Parts: sequence; structure tokens; C-alpha cells
Amino acid sequence: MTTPLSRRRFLQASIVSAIGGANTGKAETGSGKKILVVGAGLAGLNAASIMTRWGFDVEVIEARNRVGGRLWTLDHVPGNPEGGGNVIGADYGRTLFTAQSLGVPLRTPPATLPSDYLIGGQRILRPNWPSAVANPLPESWRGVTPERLLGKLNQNNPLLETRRWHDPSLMADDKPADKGLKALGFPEAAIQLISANNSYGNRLEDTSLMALYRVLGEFGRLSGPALALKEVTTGNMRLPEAMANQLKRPVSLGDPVLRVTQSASGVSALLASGRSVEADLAILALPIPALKRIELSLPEAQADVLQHIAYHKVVQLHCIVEAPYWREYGESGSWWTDGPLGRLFMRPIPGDHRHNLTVWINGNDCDRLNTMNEPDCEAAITTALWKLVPAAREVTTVAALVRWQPDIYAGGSWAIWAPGQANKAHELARAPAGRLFFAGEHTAEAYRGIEGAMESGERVALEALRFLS
Amino acid sequence: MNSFKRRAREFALLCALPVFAEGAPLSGELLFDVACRACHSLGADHRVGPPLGGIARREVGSVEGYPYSEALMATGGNWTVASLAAWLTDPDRFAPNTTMKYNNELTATEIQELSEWLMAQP
Repeated sequence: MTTPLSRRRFLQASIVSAIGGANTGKAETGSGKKILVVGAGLAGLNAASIMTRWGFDVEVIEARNRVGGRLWTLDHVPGNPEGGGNVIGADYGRTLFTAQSLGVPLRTPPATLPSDYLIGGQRILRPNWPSAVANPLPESWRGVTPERLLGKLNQNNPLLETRRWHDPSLMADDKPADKGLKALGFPEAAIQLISANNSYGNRLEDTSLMALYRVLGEFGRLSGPALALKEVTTGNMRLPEAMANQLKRPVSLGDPVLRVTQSASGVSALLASGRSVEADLAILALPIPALKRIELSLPEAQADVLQHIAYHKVVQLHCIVEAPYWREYGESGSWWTDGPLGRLFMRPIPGDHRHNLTVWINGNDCDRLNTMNEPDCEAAITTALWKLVPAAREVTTVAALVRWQPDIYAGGSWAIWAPGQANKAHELARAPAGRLFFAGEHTAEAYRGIEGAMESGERVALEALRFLS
Repeated sequence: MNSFKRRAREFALLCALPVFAEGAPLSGELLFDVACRACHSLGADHRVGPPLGGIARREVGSVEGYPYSEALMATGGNWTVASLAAWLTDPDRFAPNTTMKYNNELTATEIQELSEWLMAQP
């Protein structure tokens, strides 16, 4: 057990000194204790939790009508599939501890069924991959299945020894991933397969090789049981909901921030409702596309960097499958394709005879789908789906369409780094600007995804605590 | 829509105005709470990282049942304020390929405060 925190001692030592220095003339905001957090995703909520724990008055403003941001459990779909963040790694210390502390139950996820392959229009059952005529890989690579090709990067990964992935000395060698893989001896066919379902850039040509090393390094340092994943038993969104519920002030929902201004003594946010919120500092815990919707004064270099960080495109079609049609055909259930259908993940629903099927399309293959209205988009995906697995049609119901790029409060699933970009952009994107502080998974250092968001909330809380000390 | 108001001159002027003077360094207790306790308890329970209570009396990597990295085990010796500070300053340099993934940079003063506070925990 931890020792009780001496909150009072800290407040006496630091906040009181801030009162003397603030001189705002506004008793309610000049105390050094009022924090505005914009964004009720994990980053904002973790920062809010920490600042609340240490005695600050924290007001969290959220544009959506729910908390969680890019954690979004589709509660209306049987099996509660995740439309957003779905992986809690065994080493996600902040996430695991927060869940445990708040009584949010975790479980080992039901295993997604293995994949067969549709390559160049040819169907290859999983056991046949190494010898299949349609396997495009050269002889010494044929045994590596498409989803494991990128893992070969760990044979020569500089980030297995250091985590400073955007250190200038390392970034000096960064290059577009397609060229980088070629230089490392990856055959052209392997590069094309990696490109087909690349989650770390919208095109492989625009993807940083160092960013790929970063992802692979994360896995490369783990082994055995450490790779075990977790999820929240009733949906990952229960975690941010529990975090929001333990704050002293309820999160303000459905009221986007339009403008944040700052003076020498504080910040002021104008909300869409017309309400304004005054505080000593603001923590902007938003994905960059959402941040760009807020009128802000930022240093020119920072504003410029934020304009150029792209976000990953993801389209998901979530379906419910009533019967395991694939067994009759000797298929595995999931599919990995190099075509516009991307990947199909088939996952059993615990305690139920049905399965969740997620069609997961990413990168620039989403462009055409993102221009369509929902019915047309669903029809475009299901037409290709029934062609791939005709037997699915009679037993499959479409349950939800998720498109992250057109979502104005997300703008994509996660930040992606162009070749060489993280050298300066990563640090600039999170640099405090006066009384404005920045969080969100794009600002995280050691982790990505869910834990990256939590890490960034912790880092920004430290910055805010230093500022107010 | 979708663009920042680039008012660099205004921003520069704003930054030149006095805000808070630099205050007292953050306490070791606060730093532990914010930056360490999610992964490390001060009691006996194992979280993602090993418990840290009584670290002053222990050899590096000696909590029974915790799967330390070979890199950290290889460093040997007992923890001291200095070695703890070195570890927290740059885990990758102290024990290359360590499994500890802490990259939220603390200042040198904070690392000293935190190391001294940790070494004082029973």
C-alpha cells in the first residue's frame, strides 16, 4: 500500500506561493488552483485525476456527448466491440493500475480467429501459405505470413537498445519506409504486402521507418506472458467513464471549446454554448485535428508543425455473425487481404453462439469510403465482403460503421509520423505555450495508444504542477 | 476553420509578461505519486514494476518473484541515491534493453528529490 499523501503539505508549500505570484484580481481563478482540461479522453482524464488528487479545482470540457474520445465501445452491438482503442498491453502500467484502483474489471480477450489470405485475388488457406502458388514471396521468405513480415524489422532494430526514437542522431537515418525496407533487403513482394495493411501511415511511402522501428521495438522488448493482452470486461470505455466519475466536478459534455485565450494571469475558454471558463492554465488533451478547430494563439513554429502531422485513416464495419459458416469450407474465420477489403477479424462473443466480425480498412483505401454517405459506404464494403465469403451473407448482420477520419473530434485513429518528421515535430507538438499545455497520444514518448494517452496525461500534469509550484 | 490563428507577435508579447516566479521543486512524495506509483507499490504487491518500499536495504533487482530484465540484474550492487538517480535519469544507459519504459523527463532536481525520498521509504 502507498502511504497517505500529504496533500495539505504540498498545497501549503506550492500553491500558496502561486497565490502571491498570480495577482489576477479574480478570486475564483487567481488562486493558482483552477485547471481547465479540454478533452475527456484518457489523456485529459488522467491529467484531471492527478490534478484533482493534488488539490486543484479541475474543470473538464468535452465536445462530444460522451467521455472516452478514441476509446469508444459500441455498446449497442452484441459483444460490445471496440470502435476505438482495443488493446491494453501487459506492460500498460498506468492503464492497468487505474482500472484496478477504480474497480474496472479486466479480462483476457477472447482470441480472434486466425486468418486465411486473399492475395492478388487468390484465396490461400492458412496452412497452404508457404507452398501456395499465389504466395508472392521469394523462397527464403515464403514461410513468413503477411501479418508477420514487418516483425523482421526487429532483426536490426536500433530501438531495442534505446527508446529515444526521435533522437536527432537516429532520425538522421530516417527514411520512407518503402525505401528503408528495400535497403534492409526486404523483397519487393514483402514490401507490397506490408504496404497493403500498414497501420502506421496512410501510404508506406509516407511512413517513417523509425516510427515502424518504434512499434516493433515495443513488441521486441516483450516476450512470453508479457505479450498477454487485456481488455475491460464490459468494454474499454468503462475505464474513462470510471475516471470521469471520480472527479469532483462532472465533465461538461456536448459543449465544444471554440476559443482559448491567455493573459499574464490566466486563460479563458469560450464554449459553443456561450459560456466561458476562466482558469489558471489550460490542458489541451485533444487529437491535433480537433485542436485545430479551436482558435488559439501559438508560436508560429508550433502552429506550423501541428498543421503537418497527419492522422491515420481507419474505416471499420462491425457485423454480427450468427453461425460459423467458415468451418464448412475449412477456412479459419478471419481474413487478411491485399485488396480494398483490408482485414477481417472474427472474434467469438463469450457465452454466446455468435461472433463479432470487424472489417478493418485503413490507409488511403479509406478515401473513397470516406466520401460516401453511410448506406453507400456500408453497401460498398458488404458487396466486397459477400464476394469474398458468399456463405457469410445469410448469417451476417451489419451492426455499425465507424469512420475515424470524418469524425471532426478525432480526424483519424492516431497520429502518424512522416519520414524525418518526428525529429522536431514530436517535441514541438507538446511544447507548453505560455499557460497552454498539450496532451494526447500524439505527444507520448515511450508508449502509443491507450497507455500513450495515459502517459501524456501524466507528463502534462507534471508540467502543470511545475508551472504552479 | 481548421487553422490556427497565427499571432506570433502577440504570443511573444504575452510570453514576455511576468507569470509565476519559479517555485519550490516538486516534492519526492508528489513525484512518486504522479510518476511512479501506477507501476510500483511501496508495499509488497507487484504491479507492472517491482515494489520499491525498503529499496535502500536491497540489492538491485532483488525482489523475489519479480521478472527483472537481464540488463538490470547485470548491474549488481545495492541501490544508493546516486545509482537510483542515474537509473531514473537514463534507464537505457544504466541498463540497456531494460524493460522499464519511463520516458517522462524529470529535471535533475526532481530526480534527486525523488531518489532521496524513495531511499527513505521503509
